[in-house]
Amino acid sequence: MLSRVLTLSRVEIYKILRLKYAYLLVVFVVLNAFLVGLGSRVFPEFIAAIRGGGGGAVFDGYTFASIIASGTFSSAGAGTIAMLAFSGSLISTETDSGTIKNILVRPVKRADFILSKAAVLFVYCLLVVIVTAILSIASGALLYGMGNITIAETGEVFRTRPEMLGNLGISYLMDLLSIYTVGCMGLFLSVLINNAGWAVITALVVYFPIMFLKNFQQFSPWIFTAYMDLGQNILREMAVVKSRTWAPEVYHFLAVNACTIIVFLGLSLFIFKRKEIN
Amino acid sequence: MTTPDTPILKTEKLSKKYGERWAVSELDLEIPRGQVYGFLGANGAGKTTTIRMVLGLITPTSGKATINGVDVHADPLGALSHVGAMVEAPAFYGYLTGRENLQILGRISGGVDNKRVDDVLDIVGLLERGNDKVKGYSQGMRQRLGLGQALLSNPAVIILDEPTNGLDPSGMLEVRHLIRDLAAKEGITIFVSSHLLNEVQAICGRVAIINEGKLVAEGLVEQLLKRELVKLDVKVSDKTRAIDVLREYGPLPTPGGYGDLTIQIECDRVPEVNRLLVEAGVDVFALVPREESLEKYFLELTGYASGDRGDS
Repeated sequence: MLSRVLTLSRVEIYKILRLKYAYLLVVFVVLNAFLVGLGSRVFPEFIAAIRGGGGGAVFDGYTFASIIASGTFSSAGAGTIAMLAFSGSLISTETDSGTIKNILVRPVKRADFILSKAAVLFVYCLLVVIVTAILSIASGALLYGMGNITIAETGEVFRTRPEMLGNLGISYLMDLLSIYTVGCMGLFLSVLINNAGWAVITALVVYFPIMFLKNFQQFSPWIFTAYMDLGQNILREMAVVKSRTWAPEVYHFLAVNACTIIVFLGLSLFIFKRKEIN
Repeated sequence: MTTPDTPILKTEKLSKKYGERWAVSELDLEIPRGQVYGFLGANGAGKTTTIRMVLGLITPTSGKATINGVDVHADPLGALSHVGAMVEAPAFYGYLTGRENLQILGRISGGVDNKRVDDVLDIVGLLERGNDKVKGYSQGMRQRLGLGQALLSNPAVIILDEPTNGLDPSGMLEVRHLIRDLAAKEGITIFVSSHLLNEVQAICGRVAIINEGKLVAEGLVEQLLKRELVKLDVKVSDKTRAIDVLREYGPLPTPGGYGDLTIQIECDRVPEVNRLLVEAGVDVFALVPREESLEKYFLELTGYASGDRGDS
């Protein structure tokens, strides 16, 4: 089974590498990051407001990188929206055009097909996160520097550079998991809806009410959109509050996202296995 | 266990119900190896639904389908490893070349190298256009590429659903030639569905006729045609004598037609008519069967000829 999924995944990656809109989505994300960065540069008070004081001047480099990541991977970020569009079209495009029949009349299990799409979705999310991370860290370091974070009054170091870079890494990994969860929702809708255009539109239409549910206390602990910018928020707090740690929120984050991914992938597998391909 | 006598494709009481309507009802088919087998029916007769069930794209309401003795729904991987198929209009990734499309489908099938891809492109006459993007292909080229992808893994049977649909007459001829060549040169069993009677008559040795989801006839195309009464134009030296002889024999001759008389008899009795006339001293200059086809038989079976079909 694993070899079939790997073969299908390689084929999917090959197809995506030849697909113009896959690059366009990455360009869209990069452009968004650039605009967020530019905005932060032009309006420095924005950075100051977000960092909330403390941490010294070098913190601005981390904040800058973090703002770019937030602008990309927050619940309404460009990367999130791009991932919805991408994942919403992953299977529906094949159903819509009929290419799915070429695949399913071959010795391929339907579960392998879905798992390969899920794998490719993860690779694509990883690519978008890596591109954003490189861009944001490089520009943050160049424009503001990324050194040890010291207490301004005493000069005492309370977060070293390796520690902060490690924390940045953790926040990007959390972003990766967040947009992958969003992508799995899109993948699920892509299984349900045969028309590619409608699948993407439905993914967007369904997503925004889910996003707003995070504002209700009774839903927010259980809904993945409530945790979407958590990594970057904690990162920024860690830079100004010595006692701030990843736990316990990161465990809630992992549990909610893992459960959501399992539910969406499980439903996708269940429905696609029974789906009539006409 | 599969033996050479095991039908390459078999359906047993295969049925599919949509709502209250049976799209396919208790269909029993046995496709022997090494033939071009026609699956004839009007649009909406249940051909594509049958093919989709056979290929595991949809689940039958009841009954089962086997490919090379392997149950499609119990062991889809085992069954589909013996088959190549083109269901309805061939669909490809337009942003990839014809060769790339075949390469990725070959990778999914397994055991298909680049040499095989080139061989297949050559067989379907697309070797020179293999590096062009599919979005630039004509409908005929896409159809040929569709046949190519079905051939890739050297399957024991190829299932083609309306392979000439949407083609102009020259494209149709081209694809029919290709199907005949594939069967003759590659020795593959080809199961081809069509609503075009002349197509089935031209390329198939055996045919199953389906109407409203039910099998209404099955057999060799020749045999099905033999069952027909053929109209025969007879040109003779002595028309009066010929009429007397033939009146005694049975068929009632009518004057006119291309010859002197016209009679209607079973195909296999034509030599007997000739012998009778000659023995009675009537010189026979011509016995010309009027163009008859599977079409007439099909129309009789499906009720289109008598006009009892509202949608005809």
